[in-house]
Amino acid sequence: MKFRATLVVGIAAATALALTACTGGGGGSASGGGAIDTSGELSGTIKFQTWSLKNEKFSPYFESLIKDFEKEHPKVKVEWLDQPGDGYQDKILSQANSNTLPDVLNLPPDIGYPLVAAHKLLNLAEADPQLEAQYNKGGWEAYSSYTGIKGTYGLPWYTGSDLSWWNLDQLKAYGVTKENLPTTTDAWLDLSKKVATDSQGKVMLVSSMPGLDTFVSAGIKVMDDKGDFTFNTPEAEKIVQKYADAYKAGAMPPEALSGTYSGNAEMYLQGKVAYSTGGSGFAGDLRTKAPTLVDVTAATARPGVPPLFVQGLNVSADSKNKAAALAFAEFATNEKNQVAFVKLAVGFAPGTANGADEVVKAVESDSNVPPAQAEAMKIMFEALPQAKATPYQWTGADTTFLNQQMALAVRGDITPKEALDKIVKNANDNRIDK
Amino acid sequence: MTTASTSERSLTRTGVGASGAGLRRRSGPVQSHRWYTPWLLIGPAVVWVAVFALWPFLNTVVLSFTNARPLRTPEFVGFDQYVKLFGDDQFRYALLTCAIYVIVCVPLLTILPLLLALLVEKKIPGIAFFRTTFYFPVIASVVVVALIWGWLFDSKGIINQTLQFMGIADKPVAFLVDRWWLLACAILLTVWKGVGYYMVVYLAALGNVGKDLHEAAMLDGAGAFRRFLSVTIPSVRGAMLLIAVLIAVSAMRIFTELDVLSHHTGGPGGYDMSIVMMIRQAGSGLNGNLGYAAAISVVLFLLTLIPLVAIALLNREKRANS
Repeated sequence: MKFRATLVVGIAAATALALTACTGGGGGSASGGGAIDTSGELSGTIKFQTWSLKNEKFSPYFESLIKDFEKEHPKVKVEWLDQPGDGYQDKILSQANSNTLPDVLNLPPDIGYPLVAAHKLLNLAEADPQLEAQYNKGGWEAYSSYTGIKGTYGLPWYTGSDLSWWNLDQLKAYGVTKENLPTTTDAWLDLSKKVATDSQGKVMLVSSMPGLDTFVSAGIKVMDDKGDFTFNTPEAEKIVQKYADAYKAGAMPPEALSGTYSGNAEMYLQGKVAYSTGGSGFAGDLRTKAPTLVDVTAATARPGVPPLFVQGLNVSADSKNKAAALAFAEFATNEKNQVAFVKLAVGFAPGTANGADEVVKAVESDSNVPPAQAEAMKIMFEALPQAKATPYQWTGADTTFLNQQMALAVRGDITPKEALDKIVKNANDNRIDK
Repeated sequence: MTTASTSERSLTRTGVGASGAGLRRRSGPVQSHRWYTPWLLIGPAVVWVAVFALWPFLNTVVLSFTNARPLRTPEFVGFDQYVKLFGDDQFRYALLTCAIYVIVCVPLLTILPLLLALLVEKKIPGIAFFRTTFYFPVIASVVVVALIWGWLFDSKGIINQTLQFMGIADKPVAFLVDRWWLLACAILLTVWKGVGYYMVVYLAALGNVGKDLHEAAMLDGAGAFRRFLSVTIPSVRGAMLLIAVLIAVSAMRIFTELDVLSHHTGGPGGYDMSIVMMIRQAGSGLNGNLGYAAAISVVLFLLTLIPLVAIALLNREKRANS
């Protein structure tokens, strides 16, 4: 009987433990710990995790980077892991739950937030107060602007932005040349409507629905000082209405209403639309996937405020070898190594304060890089200082909901005001930092 | 004889027992194991069920009463997630989508495979080719098939071009953008892909229908349709019920077809989002709302119980009648 009672109590305890451990809890050690000295002799093994970068193109770079670091610190061994592109967030979540986050890892600011909130990442500004001056301002801010959390939790690694890409071949019949391409969102939407009407819907210049970046680029304040989304403004309504008018005139393929961002570029490559947004690396896609479009495509800066995409390297707060991990993160993101990296990752800019000019010069003088790509890169680099990232509170689920409501507004099923009010309410109701 | 033999065995046993020092006398049946032996035997299976079925289920139920998000300590919020769910327009659309899926798919996938099975069970030359052809969609990956259907129904896809070429439509039909067209395309895909599988189930059931029943019906003057209604259908009634329930449960949990055809968005307004797509949208990623996703999962579980309870009641009624 005693054994039976013990068994019952044991099962009950195990069940209770299992139930309380439902989401991995919110534990984790504190991210603080003050300054970390990386100048002394470092030793031990650290793990370094990248996101879909182990391939023919980048592997030699990382192998050489690790070799150079190990040469500087002979007692440190760096183990390089690479995670596939899909399911990265799930992998990070699983690592964080099991306290097996790599010592140094690659996280963009939005994916980094839950880990910062759970004290899983090291405050790098505190660990080394000298770091800030070495990095790109926008990139540094992206890792330092988490609501209610002081500190900086990532070192900007590489950054990028979008350009506008135009198929001049399709547009020339309607008097559009490289010299008179629209430079504002309004002018582009007006032209879209006109060209669609004149071509009876054969030439389409709108390839995606308005997104949060559309409102950011139009200069609309998407969040107030309290961190609430506020972009349901009359200005935003006007923009959505213009999209609806353009759709009605036949300037937008129906698939764009349920498409994803990659669909936007894909439709351009297939010749379905004469306009797309894309990074400067899009010129490479044109060369490999649609070579006939290379000579008839022109790239211009995105109208208004261009979007900013930031990638960074972070250090785990639970690392057993924080000094070596921090030293490696600093080494991988110093100007010399970042410049060498973005010379390979053509289309991106270094996340350091300087070094962009050197990259542009190197790309321009590289005979393997098509002139169109070099030109696009120059335009993007010039736009980067004005570029702005969307708030980290804006999640993938918010984007899905926005796309669903925008599709209805663009089709005319609901008014732009109704759509914007719903989107803003949904985003505020589900804010991840509340 | 039997009584005498039993008494003899008892006597012999008593005799041996009497001569054995310290042997206890048993009044009940022979017990040759400890009380926990059965538990040890079923232990592995119980642990398996507890860890991989019971624990996740209980965990989901508990989560649904919290505001859990990844890497945060969950707090109990009572029925808040359920209140939010029943006030969520998106859930109403998802429920309607799944209900339509069930209402359309259950009769189609219960009747069509039976008719196909009746056709291909005939022993005529070349029938194996048709059996293989009808079964072929079952072995194809649903994701690949959905992608191909996406291309077919695209505004510049072969179906729209054919419709325009034949003068049936003057402009592309928005198959993948319009709420009802998208749902119709997804249902068509599910039916096309599922019909071969259930046809095989019916072929097995039809193999058990005795020829004598059909012959007797023919002698009584029953025609082909009458025999189908009075002999074939009652004979495969069990298989039909099982298939109907399986389809109802699958249709309630529909995901891939709608997800791929709508590019993961659920179509304009999210009108074509299924309940499972909602769970994925709410609960995935580092910022997932696990509490809300768990509440949707619990409601989906209760909904899938409905057809299971229905078949249990029907079977009980059948047993009572027989």
